[in-house]
Amino acid sequence: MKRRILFVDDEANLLEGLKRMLRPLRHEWEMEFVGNGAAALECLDRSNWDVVVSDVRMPSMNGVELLNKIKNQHPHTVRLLLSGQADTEVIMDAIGPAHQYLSKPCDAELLKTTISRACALGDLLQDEKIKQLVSQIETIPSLPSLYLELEEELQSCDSSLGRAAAIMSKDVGMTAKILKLVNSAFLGIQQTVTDPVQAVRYLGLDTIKTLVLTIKVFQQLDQSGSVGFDMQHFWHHSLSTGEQARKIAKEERAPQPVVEAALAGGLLHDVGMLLLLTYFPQRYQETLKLLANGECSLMEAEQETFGATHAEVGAYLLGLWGIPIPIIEALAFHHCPAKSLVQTLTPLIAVHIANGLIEEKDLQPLEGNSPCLDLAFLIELGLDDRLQNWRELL
Amino acid sequence: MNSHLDIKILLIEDNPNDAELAKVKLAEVGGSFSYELFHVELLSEALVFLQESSVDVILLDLSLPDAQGDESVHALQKNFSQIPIVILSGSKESSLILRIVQEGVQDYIGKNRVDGELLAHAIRYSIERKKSERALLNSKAETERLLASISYVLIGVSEHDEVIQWNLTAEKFFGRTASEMLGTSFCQCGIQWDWQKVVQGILQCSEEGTPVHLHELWYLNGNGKKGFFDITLTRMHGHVEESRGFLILANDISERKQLEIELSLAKKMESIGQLAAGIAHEINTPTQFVSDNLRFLQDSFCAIQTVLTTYDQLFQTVEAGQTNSPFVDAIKRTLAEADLEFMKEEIPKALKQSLDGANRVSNIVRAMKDFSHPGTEEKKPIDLNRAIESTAIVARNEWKYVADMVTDLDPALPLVPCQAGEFNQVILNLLINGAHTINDVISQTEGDKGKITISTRVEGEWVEVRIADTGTGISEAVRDKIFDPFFTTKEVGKGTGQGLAIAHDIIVNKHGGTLTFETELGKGTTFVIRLPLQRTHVC
Ligand SMILES: Nc1ncnc2c1ncn2[C@@H]1O[C@H](COP(=O)(O)OP(=O)(O)O)[C@@H](O)[C@H]1O
Ligand SMILES: [Fe+2]
Ligand SMILES: [Fe+2]
Ligand SMILES: [Mg+2]
Repeated sequence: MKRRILFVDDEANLLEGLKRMLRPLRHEWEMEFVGNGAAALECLDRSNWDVVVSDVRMPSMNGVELLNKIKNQHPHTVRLLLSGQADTEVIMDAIGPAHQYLSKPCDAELLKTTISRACALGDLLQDEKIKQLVSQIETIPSLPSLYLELEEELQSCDSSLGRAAAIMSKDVGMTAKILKLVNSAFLGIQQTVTDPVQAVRYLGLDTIKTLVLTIKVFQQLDQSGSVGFDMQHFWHHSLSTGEQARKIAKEERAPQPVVEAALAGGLLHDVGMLLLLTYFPQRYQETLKLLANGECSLMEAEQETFGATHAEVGAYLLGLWGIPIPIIEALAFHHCPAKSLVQTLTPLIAVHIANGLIEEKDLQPLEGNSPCLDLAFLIELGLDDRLQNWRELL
Repeated sequence: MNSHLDIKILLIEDNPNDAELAKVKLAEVGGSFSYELFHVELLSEALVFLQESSVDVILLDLSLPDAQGDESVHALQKNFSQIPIVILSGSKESSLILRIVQEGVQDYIGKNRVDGELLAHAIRYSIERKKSERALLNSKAETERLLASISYVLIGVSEHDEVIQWNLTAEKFFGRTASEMLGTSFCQCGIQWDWQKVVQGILQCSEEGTPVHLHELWYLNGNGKKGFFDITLTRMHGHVEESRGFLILANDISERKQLEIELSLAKKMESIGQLAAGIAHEINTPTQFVSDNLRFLQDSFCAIQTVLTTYDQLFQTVEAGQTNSPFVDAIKRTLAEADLEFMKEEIPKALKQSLDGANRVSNIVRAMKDFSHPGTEEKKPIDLNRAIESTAIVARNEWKYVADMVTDLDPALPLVPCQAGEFNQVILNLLINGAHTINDVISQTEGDKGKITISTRVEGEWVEVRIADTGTGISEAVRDKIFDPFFTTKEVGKGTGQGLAIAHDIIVNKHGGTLTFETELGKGTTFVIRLPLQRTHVC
């Protein structure tokens, strides 16, 4: 089936330019081009769309307003902004509802790959089985507000460590957790850190933001009480995967945003397990039993009981929240990177490798004894000879 | 013994017995009391003596041949106020004594009770007392000098609304002297400032007892010019009733506020640098579609080239006499893949739009150059139409989301002597106001875009520029205020109240023109700029 992509911009010439430039993709993509927010909403009401790409400044309804409406009314459509705006204020507002932000002029290839990756995320968000599964959850956990606040602080043109630390300190329990983490030599920090400002200074705002998200989400979905599931072990597995994915990205000299996203993806890659456990405890017990029999991997067991996996469910949730696409990708495909469109060392690859190496070393792997690393894929990417290097990073 | 540490005493006494008694008694005093005594019999002698020598204390008899009662005290105090006086009095003068002491004599001793120790004590004590009295006086004078010299406006108001302090700075600001103001009713004293805030502040201060700060309170100075104060209201808790009330300390912040406004203006967008974000947006959009179109043209050319190559092969085989060329099928296949119909239709449009886009970018660049006009202070004949068009282009991102623009520019307009940069500023300010008011209408009614119309024409010796909007119109209540500096009806961050004031200054003061407006509520407003065509009109 063709992907369906809706473009919104008040500049007719721009839409025509896009239409022509994307013409070669007409066999894969069904595209529509509309001149304002109202028309876009009409299109969305009429039929299903995988991805919306919207301008920011438009008369009457601007792009941020539009994406907010879409987020509420059509949460399964992936939302991108393509804007000529240099105005950080608007960019900041846009963070909430948009999965990704692109600036004009945007290179044709970048636009194409971004949309393709958004489509892959769209597949996930549109997947009937997952949708159906999640629709049984009465109240889906919401994006922690503290995370949003930090995000805003980070995006503001005069963001300050002090203010970020103040925002963080509002949650005492979480702050304590972060300080404890930092002082356990997590991420290689050697200093003793006693106050939030220091913590923010050593880790940087991006990392703090990621830790806040992880800790808050894990708190919301805490499973320490459930039988047959070792929350402590899970927490350790997540931490090490995050740390390791970050190291790998760094070692490969990936750009800073990729390094940060690798950490986030690593920390959260298995969050789907917590979701399933929290909302479907009995069925997940069956899954764990299948796993304990040792005949299949956790993914296969989940597939058997739910028709969906923890990778997909976790990615789905973060997708609804509007977390950046590379992180969602890392969750969704951390067991099967070959299914992604990824060609280079993205957060997904870093997480896949980190998770694989850690499970390999773990005497009691979180997901059973079946091998995790997709060697064929790594060979295809020409990364296999780096494996030994990465093992040594552990 | 005679050292400079001795207390120098001047005894003024005409009665030899009394004088002798005092001398004897003083001589009796022992210990550390060392003194030097001078004796005169008349006030006139005393005054002469004091002209030449200084003493530490005066012992004064009240009934002298040349001065009766308090006369002598007054005369001495008038000329030698720094010297303490101790009265040696007869018993019958008690009521007089009381008055004299109130008038500042340091002490008195009844002649019948004169005793050495007592006398010595009175002398020492009166010297000390005089000293501290003087210190007090000094510090009071100093305080007053200080109050007068501080650059804060200081106004004291008694509990009964009476002005009891009015320093020099207050005089300077309000153009009223202290003598005019002291004792008048504060609330009716006629100074012009934000009374509502002041009165509220006073009420709050008297209720809570703690100082109250009022920020950015407007005032009009003696010349009717507007400015801003930061004010602190403090309650005075005097022991005596007269010193109870309020102190108003006002710091003039007009200059700072002006700076702030300039800063916020700088942040906002009223010059080229400040329009930068909008201009970037205006450039980024055509850049995007021009490069998309070029990409398409490149792809198209590849496809067309493939078709041409195949045709060429066909041509060659046909030319070689082959009637059933294998390339006929190839042509069919290539054509099917090449999407030629689409290209035929779209290539001309892509070319045209790309040219348009490139044009738009170069127009913006040209308009930016026109608009900024660096450093042309002097008036030169300029083409107002072009200036208006450039300004509209540069500011396009500010109005295009709320309004369409219609221009009706007289092509026969002569050049007008003008400071181009300043004139552009005026047009910009008026355009932005127009965009704002139309935005108000649109967001209230969720209606469509409004319209801004700019026209130019010659009217006798004048050139007239009209900028009309379809905004809210200007309510009667504010019509005579809109040109005031700082007057704004807009929220903080959006309005500074400077736009029209600046425009007025530029047109009226710098160009000898007029700036007026016609407005109708619910319909819109037209601002009318008139500039003299003749250089001689320009002041
Ligand atoms: N075109 C207009 N339509 C309606 N009101 C206007 C218009 N132009 C100016 N005004 C009024 O005059 C006030 C002063 O304008 P101005 O000096 O430009 O300052 P500002 O725009 O910063 O408020 C505005 O706040 C507004 O109330
Ligand atoms: Fe997993
Ligand atoms: Fe895992
Ligand atoms: Mg204005």
